[in-house]
Amino acid sequence: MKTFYVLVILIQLSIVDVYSQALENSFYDETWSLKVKQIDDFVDRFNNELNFISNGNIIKNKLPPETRSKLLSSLIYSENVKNTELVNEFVNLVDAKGYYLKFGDDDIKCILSLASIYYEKQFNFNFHLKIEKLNDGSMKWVIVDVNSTSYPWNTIAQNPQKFINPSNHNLRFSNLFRIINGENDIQGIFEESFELDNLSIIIHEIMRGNMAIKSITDVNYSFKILDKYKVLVSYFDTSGKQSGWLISNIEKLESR
Amino acid sequence: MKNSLKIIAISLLVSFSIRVEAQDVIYKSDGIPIECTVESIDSNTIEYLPTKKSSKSQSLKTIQASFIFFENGQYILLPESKVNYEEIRSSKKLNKDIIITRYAEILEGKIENISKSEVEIFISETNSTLKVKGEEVLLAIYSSGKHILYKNPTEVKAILEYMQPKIIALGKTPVNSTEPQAPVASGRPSNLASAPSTTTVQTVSNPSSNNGTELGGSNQVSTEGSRIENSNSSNSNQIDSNVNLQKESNPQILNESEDEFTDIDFAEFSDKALQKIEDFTNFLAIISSKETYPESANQAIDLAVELFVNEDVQVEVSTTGYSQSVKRKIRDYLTRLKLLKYDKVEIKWAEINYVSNFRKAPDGNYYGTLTVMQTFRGYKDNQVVYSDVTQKDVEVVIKGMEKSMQGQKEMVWDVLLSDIGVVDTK
Repeated sequence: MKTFYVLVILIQLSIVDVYSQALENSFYDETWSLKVKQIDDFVDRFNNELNFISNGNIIKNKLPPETRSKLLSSLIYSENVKNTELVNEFVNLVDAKGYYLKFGDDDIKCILSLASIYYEKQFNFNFHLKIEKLNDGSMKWVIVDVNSTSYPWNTIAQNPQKFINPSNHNLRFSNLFRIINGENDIQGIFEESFELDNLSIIIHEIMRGNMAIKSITDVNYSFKILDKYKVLVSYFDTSGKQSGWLISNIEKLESR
Repeated sequence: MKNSLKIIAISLLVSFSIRVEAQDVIYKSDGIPIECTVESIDSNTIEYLPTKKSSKSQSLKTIQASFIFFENGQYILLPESKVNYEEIRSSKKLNKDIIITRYAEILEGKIENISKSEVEIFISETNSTLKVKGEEVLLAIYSSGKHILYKNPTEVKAILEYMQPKIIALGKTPVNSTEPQAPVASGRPSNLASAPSTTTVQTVSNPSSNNGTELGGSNQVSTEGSRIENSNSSNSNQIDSNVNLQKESNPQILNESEDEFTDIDFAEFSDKALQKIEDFTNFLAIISSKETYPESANQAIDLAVELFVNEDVQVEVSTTGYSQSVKRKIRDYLTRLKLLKYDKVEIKWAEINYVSNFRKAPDGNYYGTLTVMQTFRGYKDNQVVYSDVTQKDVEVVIKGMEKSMQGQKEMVWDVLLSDIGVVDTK
């Protein structure tokens, strides 16, 4: 690992030598230079590239294959991922298979944690987003799912006392009038497996103007790699050599 | 009637460039120039001998003047000049012709061709001619002292004020200096300033039929590698030997590019994006400096806002210790910045920063993000009274517009800034 950083610093220092004489209006910060600054930077490094801007020049370095395992290892935040056996297995497999990420084509999901205001109360939830590619080749992030530990609306639970009786069809479902209009208690009139579509509710409430985003509290990315691992990438704002967008968790997927 | 004439005169100033031979010119606060010989200036009055019409001396209150250009190509700003009039008046002429752009750049060299639409300046250090579009030029000053304004004098004043120390310094530089002088670019690397891409509007073919929608992928490697070599071949070799770059594969990768947006186009757009952020940084320094006149600060705000896609662009400011970030529209952000008054502002960038690939979005434009680390220091009485280190994430949009040229439709692309996220890191 140390050798790798020396290598990186060598690259950077040699470039600094080139331009520093002509440039007074800049400074060199080693921690910043090593920081994985964007998720795109993470993808670059995962793909064995070290790309950056040095004093106004875009420098793109595709590194030789022998550095890949070191570069991959540097992306795994050692404070969080301590299972060295799993790390080695993951790094070796990605390296051996020659697996590379391609933004927009891979199974990359973003888990966005939001704090919203819903009817004057705070409601925290996560949006799940993915990149969607359109026919003209353009792409965009789209919301595909939502999850929360506490939805501010009632969940549907079966109520044995509330149902449409099995003969009620002969009365053109008269029970519905009593349940929906009268008692406003609709639990029990849906099939056993029914679950509320919370994403649709949120969309509806946003469109009605009942919900507003207060802040984005966290951003994480989930990468499915080789159908064997689910990797979580999170942002670490540390003063150490490992900072920025790094792998915070590696989950081995069950083989089917 | 008098007002109408004044409006017509100002309109003419805005519409056409003002070309003035080497003589003194007083630019009044309403933008009207007076060609003359300045005889004396005190805190209240300017005495001058008009070049035309009359041979009698006349006077003008300093509060009625915006700035004065002298026959040596130097100038003072009014009504309260921060430099000594006598010293400026007796300064040497510039050693070279210079062009000052709207982005507070100075390009030094020999002006070869000049027209309303374009200025060509030969840069001896790089042995190349830069073409600068007229719309990007604020002012040209010849080594003879002659100057040409490309914009309304009131619009030029903010930049003149900011650039004055550099212009004065250029007048003091020995003519036969053996030190190679790269074009001076305010707050921007000289190597970037000399690149043609920084001052010309890029036009390329319509990329809508582009198979590749992500610009700057791994197929960019060779181009960027060659850029290093062009800048300094010996150091480039040093870099290569240190990291054992895959030199042999580079030409192949270059040839594999299928994008209509070629590698070079991408590099130029990225350069232009960097330039815009540098320009924005320069404007921040102008706006937040106590030395800047309020009207100049307002003009700087207007110019800074023009760097962005629209006025709805948001700047997010989050401060260490505060969990909530604040989002402000760009003009509001800059207006608040104006209220911060320091004697001197120093803004520096980190050597190493990052730009993402540009990706095509459903609106046909391309989007990317620049991440830079910046230090800001505000001085009062030569003491640092405020400093911060921030990470700036700046969204960059390559925006396409279809234009009809000689009967054919062509896509013209421009680089504009969009939302900015600012995070205090130290």
